[in-house]
Amino acid sequence: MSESFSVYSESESENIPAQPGLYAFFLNLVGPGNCGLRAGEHVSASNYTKIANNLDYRLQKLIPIFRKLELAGRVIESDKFGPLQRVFDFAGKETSPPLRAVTEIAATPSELESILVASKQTAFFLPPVYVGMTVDQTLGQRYRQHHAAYQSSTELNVFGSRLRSAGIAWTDLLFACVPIGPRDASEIALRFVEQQLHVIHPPLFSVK
Amino acid sequence: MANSNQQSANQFVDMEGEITYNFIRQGSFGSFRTEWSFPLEFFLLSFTAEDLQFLSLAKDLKPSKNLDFDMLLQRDIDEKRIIDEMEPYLVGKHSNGENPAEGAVFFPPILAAVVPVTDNDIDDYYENEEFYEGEREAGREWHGHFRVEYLLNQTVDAVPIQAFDNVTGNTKTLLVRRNPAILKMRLPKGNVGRGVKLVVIDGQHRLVTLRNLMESHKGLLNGMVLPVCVVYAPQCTKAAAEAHAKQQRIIPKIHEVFRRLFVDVNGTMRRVSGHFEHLLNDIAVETLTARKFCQAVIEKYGFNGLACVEWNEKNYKQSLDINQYYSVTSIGVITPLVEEYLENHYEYLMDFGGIEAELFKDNDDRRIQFQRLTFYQKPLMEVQIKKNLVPLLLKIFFETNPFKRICSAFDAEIAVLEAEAKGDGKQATTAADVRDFLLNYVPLPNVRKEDARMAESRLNAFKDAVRASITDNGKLEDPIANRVLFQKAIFEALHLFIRAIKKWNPKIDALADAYCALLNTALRDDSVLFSSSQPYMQYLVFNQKRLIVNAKARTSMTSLLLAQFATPGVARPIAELLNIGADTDTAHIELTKLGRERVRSLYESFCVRRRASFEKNYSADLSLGADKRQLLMELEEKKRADLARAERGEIDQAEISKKFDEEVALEIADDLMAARNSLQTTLSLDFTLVQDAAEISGSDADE
Repeated sequence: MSESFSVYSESESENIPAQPGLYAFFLNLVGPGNCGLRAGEHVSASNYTKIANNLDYRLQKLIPIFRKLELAGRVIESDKFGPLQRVFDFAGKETSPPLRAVTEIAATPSELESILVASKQTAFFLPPVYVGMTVDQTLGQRYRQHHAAYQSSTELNVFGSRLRSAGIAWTDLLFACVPIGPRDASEIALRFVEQQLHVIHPPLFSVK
Repeated sequence: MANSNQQSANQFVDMEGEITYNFIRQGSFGSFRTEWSFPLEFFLLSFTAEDLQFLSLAKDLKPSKNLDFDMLLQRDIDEKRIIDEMEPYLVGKHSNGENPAEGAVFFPPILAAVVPVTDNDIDDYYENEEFYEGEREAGREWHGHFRVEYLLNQTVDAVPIQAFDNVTGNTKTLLVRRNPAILKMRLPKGNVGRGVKLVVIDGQHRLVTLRNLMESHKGLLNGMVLPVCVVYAPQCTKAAAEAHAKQQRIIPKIHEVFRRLFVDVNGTMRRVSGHFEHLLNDIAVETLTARKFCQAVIEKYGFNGLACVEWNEKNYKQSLDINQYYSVTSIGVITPLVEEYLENHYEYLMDFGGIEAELFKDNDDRRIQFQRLTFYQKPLMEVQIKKNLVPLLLKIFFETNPFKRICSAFDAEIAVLEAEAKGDGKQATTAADVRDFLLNYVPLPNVRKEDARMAESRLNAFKDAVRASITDNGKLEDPIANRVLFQKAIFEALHLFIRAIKKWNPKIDALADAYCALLNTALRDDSVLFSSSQPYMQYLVFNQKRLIVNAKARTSMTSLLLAQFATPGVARPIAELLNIGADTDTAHIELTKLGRERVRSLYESFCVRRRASFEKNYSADLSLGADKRQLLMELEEKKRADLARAERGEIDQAEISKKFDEEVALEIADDLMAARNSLQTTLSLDFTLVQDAAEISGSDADE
């Protein structure tokens, strides 16, 4: 038996199941739509520069969000004590790799368009930016709660406002969810699964 | 020796002048007078921040016998308004870190009255006026209060002023220059002494804001020079009052003059309202859309087109309605609808993805306040509005069939007026007047009664002719397209349509074509689907022929618009118009599903409301026999009693009598069937609408 999850964009959110379950937000970072191309439009000589600038903007602004780990700590010589013990304090801040301008890589409109199309298909190659579970609310209610926080909250311990402050559009997100039937919707079970997912690969915007 | 004595004497005279008047400023002079009004004169001056100390608030004066002046002038200073709005306006940011609308910052002139005081108590009048005239200059003085000095001027630009000498009784008309003129005032220090105070009539909050900022943000007002208009009533002197009293005429006291001015400035100035409230707001997306829409209408359809859009109604209530038969819409209708129904789609409609790099250049936070665009965001949004939103609205209101019909009827009657206007005589003049009223917003003649009557009559004939054309001389119902409730339904349906299809990111002109195709389908055959004669329209949208104006009726119209997708052959071509390539088939399926959901919802709503209407009105429905009505009343009473018993726990809920519900269902069965059949027929449904007993007795599915 194979199980599958359902995926919803912002415009499909009305269809999110009215059941409890587990969910994750993925980032649909780059694609024709969010770089300024409409359905049926193609990259051409007249819009090549504009589309390339939009793509550059997205990459340069958003990739550092995922490469900004900051570490601080202390390393101690464990086999020494007192004044003989050496102690090292260190702090490190990740730098993001230099990015080449898109126009250096995709010299022609068709190459640029290929990049956009291929990128759109790879949303699920990235780890989720947020993983959560809900028992008391339905998945639909929880989605709307996050959306409302994105639109109006200013508290930084709230997922929606952290997302917005990072410059990510709500329409850039894909909501993937696994509804859980009433018999299996135990808070203990869902909480455990959520925590394991956090341990294995901490989602970027999950803080707790 | 004699010369030095003379010089000394002159010096003493000069020193005395300087001491008498300790506030001397040069500015522009002017006067305000009509045949009937009490004359006022004013000086326009520039005040530095330090000069603000010379301005007083009315509450700073001693409460006196002139309590009414004091009370009127003393507005409670609204501290919250100062902190929340005015201080951030000057400082540059709100306390929570958001930026207010950027750009030019300006306070309009503060209006200050010259009020005579003795020991901080208001005097009734100024000192008596005296004047002098030299070779090049002239002056008037209210000794110990203030003095004005002018340069004489014999050119055509000279301002004539009436100078009085209250002591000798002489008067003279002086011809002076407005600019420069000098105002000298005696401002007592503190609360002691005689002189004048500059009491602020308009701008109290501005003054307090500025004073607060001088304390809290030292240096912020450096270099700032503020406009102040100082006003005085030159004829309010003791001598003038006594002279007029002898003739049993009254010269008002100073505080009465400025009380009137205060009331006029603060009380009778109307807030900009009606359509202008929208059109003068240029930092909100929906109001910018309204302005750009009107501009585009002129560019594409000329002034005939603009005349079909109501945009210059000042009355608030009327601005929310569509008042003219020949209007396709009103700014007061579409502006709030754009905000209510399209705001959630701005990101798609205005292609934020395409302008992201510029729109969010200086700000990481992606939240845009659509009703409060910044100086930087506004030009970007204007471009997107013009490219996307405006063409969508133009297509809806000028290129769908029902609106085209209204515009054609209007154009045809304008052509008749134009032809008449080219003729001779009174009829031609009247036709020209009415044409100018309709197209150029020139008021109809109202000086001569006969002209006014003829113009009014011709205008009414114009409107009647337009109506006759649209209704085919009364054979058709009045169009539903330019009813406000229907236009709300247009926007609600547009919102739902966009919600369904924007995941495929169609171009906006494709969206517009698709949506207009839907409207044309729904409103075909002179909008027969929305006719009050349709059984399903009764109780939902019409009560007999009268339109029901409420949210449920609007939702029903929205459902009927979208229900068109349930008609075989409608969804596919509209999906193709979206031009979304491989997703067309999916779009077709989803739009068909949307249409079916909506037609079911419409029918369910009809069932619920038909039932509710019957239960409310059966007791007075004489078409039911007396026995039937009696039976129904008894059954209803039984049901009510059972409900009460169930609430008290005396019986189980399952034991509540259902006889009343069953009897009602029998009575309305024919109506439900007629509604169902008419929906099936008019929409050519390829599935059967099912009547579910549980749905009939359930809650209204639309809410």
